[in-house]
Amino acid sequence: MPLLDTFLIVQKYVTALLFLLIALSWFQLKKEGIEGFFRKPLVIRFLLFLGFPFIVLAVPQFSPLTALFVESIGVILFSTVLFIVSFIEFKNVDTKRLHDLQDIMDKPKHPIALEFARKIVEPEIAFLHKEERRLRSFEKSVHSRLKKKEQALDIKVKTDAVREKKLKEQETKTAQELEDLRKKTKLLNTQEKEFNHQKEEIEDKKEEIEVIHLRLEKLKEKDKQRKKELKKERKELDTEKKHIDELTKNIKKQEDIFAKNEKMKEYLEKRKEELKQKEKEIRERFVGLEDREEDIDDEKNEIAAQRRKLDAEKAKVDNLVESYNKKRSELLILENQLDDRKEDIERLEKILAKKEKELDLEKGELIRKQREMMK
Amino acid sequence: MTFETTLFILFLIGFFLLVYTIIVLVKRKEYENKRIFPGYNALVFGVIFLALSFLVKTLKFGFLAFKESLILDYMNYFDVATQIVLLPLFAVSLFVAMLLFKEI
Repeated sequence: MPLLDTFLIVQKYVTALLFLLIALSWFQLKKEGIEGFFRKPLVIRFLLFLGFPFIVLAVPQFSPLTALFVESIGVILFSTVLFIVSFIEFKNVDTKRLHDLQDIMDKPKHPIALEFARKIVEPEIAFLHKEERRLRSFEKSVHSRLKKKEQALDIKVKTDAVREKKLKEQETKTAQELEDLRKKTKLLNTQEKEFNHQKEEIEDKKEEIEVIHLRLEKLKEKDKQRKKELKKERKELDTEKKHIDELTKNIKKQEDIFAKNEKMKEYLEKRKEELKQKEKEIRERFVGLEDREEDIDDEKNEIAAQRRKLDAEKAKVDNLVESYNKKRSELLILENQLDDRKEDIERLEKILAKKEKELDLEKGELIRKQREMMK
Repeated sequence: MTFETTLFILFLIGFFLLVYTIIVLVKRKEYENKRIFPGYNALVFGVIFLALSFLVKTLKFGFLAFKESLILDYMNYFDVATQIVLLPLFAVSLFVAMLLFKEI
């Protein structure tokens, strides 16, 4: 960077030197008479002064801050002055040129004025003449067009008058028609009112119908609910019916069983009665036998032994009777259990029948023995 | 107002004034003698170089005032470049203008 700084300083010196040279050359030019070429060389003078801050900046004793301020303020000051001076000078030159041109215009015999007239004013005049001609032709054409348009307008006015008459006639007709229409409109209004009234009534009825519809829908919904409930109840009833049918079937079965049991009871009672009669007969016979035993006791001691045997047999018979009674009681119990113990009862009956046969056989034996004894 | 902003405003005003001066000088050229046109043109070029250097300075101080650090480094380099190139060019163009005026 020091190289750059040195380069910068050198550049500053160079610019300052250049500005100094410019200033010197300007003063020389002024002495030679350069002002003759310029109308007012103030601008150039100020332009040269623009370099003054750069000459000041080349002095190495200034700090960079002060150098910046010097540069900025100096350049702005000179630039503002330059701008103002150049603007004022430009205005002055412009006005002076205008005055010169007016002088030339005022002096027609002036050679420059003649040349100016020939080269600048004449072509402009010719151009203006051309323009005038063009405008006149345009005016004529416009006039002719306007005349044509006026004629067309007259024709139109005439036709419009005829049309107006027709329109007036039409107006009268339309007025009549309007009156008719008004009447009709009145009628229509009344009809409309009636119609509106009817409409309102219809709407009221519609609303009522809608309300009824709504109610009906509600009732339908309720019916649906009830139907559902009824279906449920029906299902329940069906299930109950099935259950009842099953129960009735069971009852019938039980009734049948009961009837069968009753028949069996009747049969058993008959059998009982028969047995009782037989018992009675046996007892009667036994009583007769006892009587005869007593007779025999009285008569023979041997018979006593036989009697003992008979007593034993009697005991056996008693035992049998007791067993018979037990079985009877068992039968009675079995009667309550009817269905299950039918077979038992039959078996018991068979057993009873067997035992009766045995009894009969024994009785028969007893009778034989009695007969033998009697013999 | 900070130091940077004041400088920024000063250089901005200076730049606009120089631009207006260039416009006025160009308009004034019409009323001058054609013989001094080359020198006049060299003068105008010199003012243009000065205006460019002012533009660079205004941009630099503007970025400093609004604290745009990213572009600031670039602007500093640019400022150095203007000091090296544009200001001597301004002086050279004025010198050339003087030489041209001398030739008339």
